[in-house]
Amino acid sequence: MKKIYTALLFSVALGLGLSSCNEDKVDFDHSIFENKEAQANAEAAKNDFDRWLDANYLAPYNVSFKYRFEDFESDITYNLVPADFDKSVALAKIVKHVWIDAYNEVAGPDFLRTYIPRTIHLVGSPAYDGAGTMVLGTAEGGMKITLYNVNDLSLDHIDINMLNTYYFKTMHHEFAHILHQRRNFDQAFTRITENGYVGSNWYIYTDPETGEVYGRSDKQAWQAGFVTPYAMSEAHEDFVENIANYVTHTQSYWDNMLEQAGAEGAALIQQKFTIVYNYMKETWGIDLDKLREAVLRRQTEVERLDLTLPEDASNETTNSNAE
Amino acid sequence: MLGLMFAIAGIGLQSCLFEEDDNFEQSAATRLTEDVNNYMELLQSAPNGWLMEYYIGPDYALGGIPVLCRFTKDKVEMATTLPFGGSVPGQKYSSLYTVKSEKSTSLSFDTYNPIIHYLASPGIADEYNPNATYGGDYEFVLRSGDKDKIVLEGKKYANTMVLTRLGDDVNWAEYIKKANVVSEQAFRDVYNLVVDGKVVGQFKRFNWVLTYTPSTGGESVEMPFFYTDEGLKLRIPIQVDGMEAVNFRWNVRTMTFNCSDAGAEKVSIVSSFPEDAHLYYDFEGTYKLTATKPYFNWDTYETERWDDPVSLTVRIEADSINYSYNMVEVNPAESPDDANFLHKPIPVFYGQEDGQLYIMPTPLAYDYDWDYYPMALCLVYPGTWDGEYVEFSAADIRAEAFLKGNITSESPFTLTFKGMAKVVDEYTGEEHIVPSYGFALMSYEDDSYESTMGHRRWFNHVKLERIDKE
Repeated sequence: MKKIYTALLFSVALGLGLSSCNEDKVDFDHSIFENKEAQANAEAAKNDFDRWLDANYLAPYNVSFKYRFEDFESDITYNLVPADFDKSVALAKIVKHVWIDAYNEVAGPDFLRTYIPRTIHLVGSPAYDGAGTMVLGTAEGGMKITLYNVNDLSLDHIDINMLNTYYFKTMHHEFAHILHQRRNFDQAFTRITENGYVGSNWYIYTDPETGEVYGRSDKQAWQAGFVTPYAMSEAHEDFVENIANYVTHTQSYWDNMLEQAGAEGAALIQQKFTIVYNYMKETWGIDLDKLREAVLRRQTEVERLDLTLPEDASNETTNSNAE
Repeated sequence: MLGLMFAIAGIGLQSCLFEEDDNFEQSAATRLTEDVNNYMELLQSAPNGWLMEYYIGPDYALGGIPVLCRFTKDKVEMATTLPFGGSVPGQKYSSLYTVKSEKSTSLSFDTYNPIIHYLASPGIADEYNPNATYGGDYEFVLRSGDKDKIVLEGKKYANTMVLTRLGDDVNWAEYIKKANVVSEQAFRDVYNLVVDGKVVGQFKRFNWVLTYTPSTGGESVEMPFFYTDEGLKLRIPIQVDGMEAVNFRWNVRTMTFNCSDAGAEKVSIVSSFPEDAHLYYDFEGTYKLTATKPYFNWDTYETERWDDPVSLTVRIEADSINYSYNMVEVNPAESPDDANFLHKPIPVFYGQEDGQLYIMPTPLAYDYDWDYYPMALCLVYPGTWDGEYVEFSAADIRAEAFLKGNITSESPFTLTFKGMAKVVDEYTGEEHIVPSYGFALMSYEDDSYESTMGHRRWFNHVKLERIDKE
């Protein structure tokens, strides 16, 4: 009886203790997570470019294409400025045509839907690091790609080589990282030029005879069995540099590289590239020759693309502010 | 027993905390959204936009510039006085902006606009440190706002910038043009602070910062300012004799910024010049020009004299203010001798460093009615072998040469022109610095000025004596 009494008392006390005097209902209307007014405002504030991005990046790929500068998306050690609006429009269309649609063409749409980085952030200026080196693009953990120096794009004359140097090589490079992080490549690759990796000194070439120090040229890298100087930093970079450089260059560029590399360098490059090629084909079903064919063809199509918004887009949006 | 303890503890620990009144009627999220909406509305409420006092660099280091900006629903238009990366002063540039709720409500210009982003761009300010910028901000905390005034604070450099509502009648292009005229005309970088006619301190100007040092000694104070369409506005008032002066109106005739604030009209910022300097407008007026010219005898085909006298009445008229004048003959038709008159306006220059008049070699405006050949003004200097005879070469128009109007008398105001020319010997290629006393109007074969055809007018030992004033 005493036990029951105690238990009863306990439960009453517990009940009293857990009760509360708050008669307020949870305020779903003004939740910070679903602030209807803010959402309505955001929707109303969308311009035609925003709607184009919704239809071409967000809906099909769940990619947020951020052309408006956001400082929390940026590295605060750099002084940066926003991207120009018209140049952002052009770049969004070029990236879709030359990069996204090239993969779609070769691997089908589900491939990119699964692996594409979820944020593409544009920055108008270059990012200069402490040594004065210009950073062209960065990718963070496969989640975000930042493209710098967008304001340098000339809308009157779209220069494919500039796009390749600044953007596409970087995008293919970073995307290839995402792929090998999902499924690793044959470690035989890392052993082929095992002694050639020099870490962060990749851009420095020391003359073996005089000991003098220069910037490392492409040719010096080729002769050492690497497709670029940066490929010499370490094996994963080497691996993705193979993909990025193969698909953005013509066969004659590649042949010239092998020729300049000399017999020894060319043999090393080819040995490694065979692994890269087979990896992409067997692991992801992507034939790099077909991808390259698509990328190069699409590059030449850029000059025929309409890189502007439809006429009415430049007018001020007429949506009224939803109250 | 344990249960009882729990029970008592349970009763004791319950609370009615939620009965406390809310500090605010609405949730934080709602209030933040409202703040954003209010600022959006306020920014858009000025149909002719706002004047933004845009201050540059950490701690206002470079001073300020006026930036005009007008906000519509999703765009902002801006214009300013400086050319930024190829932008045209006074022209409107449009881009997007966002008012958003972060740590505080903030205003961000988030697509590129040269007007607000150039000074924040890397790769321009310092070739040895490409990450450096001029210290411009383009993201701001919205500190306060009412119908006529919004106060911003730069996120990176923390400078306070004020937006003042522009009247509907303010023409943007005019505003910017006038502010640039003030900036150009107020070319001195040393000024005196004058209160009621008495110098009480000195300013040194660097960019758009005046560094003030009181005449009595004491510490210097940096006073950032920006040029307005009327004159200049200090960031914070200067306090003298119980007066507060912020807004100043420019007077180019006196080269003075006069305070336009009620009660502080006696405060002026006056351009400081070297002692014997004159202001630009001091030289405007009517003068008697006397000079000598060669006399050519058409019978003997010889120059008989080099000192044939010339006398004419000329007027010095303002042309490009603080830079140049035109010297024109008052009544060319009344000139006693056809060879005397000036033929066309002679450019005369104002030396901004020393406040003196200069005549320099210059091509002259081409006028087909009068001249069959292009003309230029060259300086006259003694020849190397025959008295005052000098053979002009085509290079004389490009020679480093000047005549300075030395003030030889203040009453009547008299200028005697003397100078020098750097002459290259045609045969030896040697350079000689020779004295120069006058000028000649030369004809050239064509407007490349490569080949001379001789002089049309010749004025040596030039003297100007003022005749229109006491």
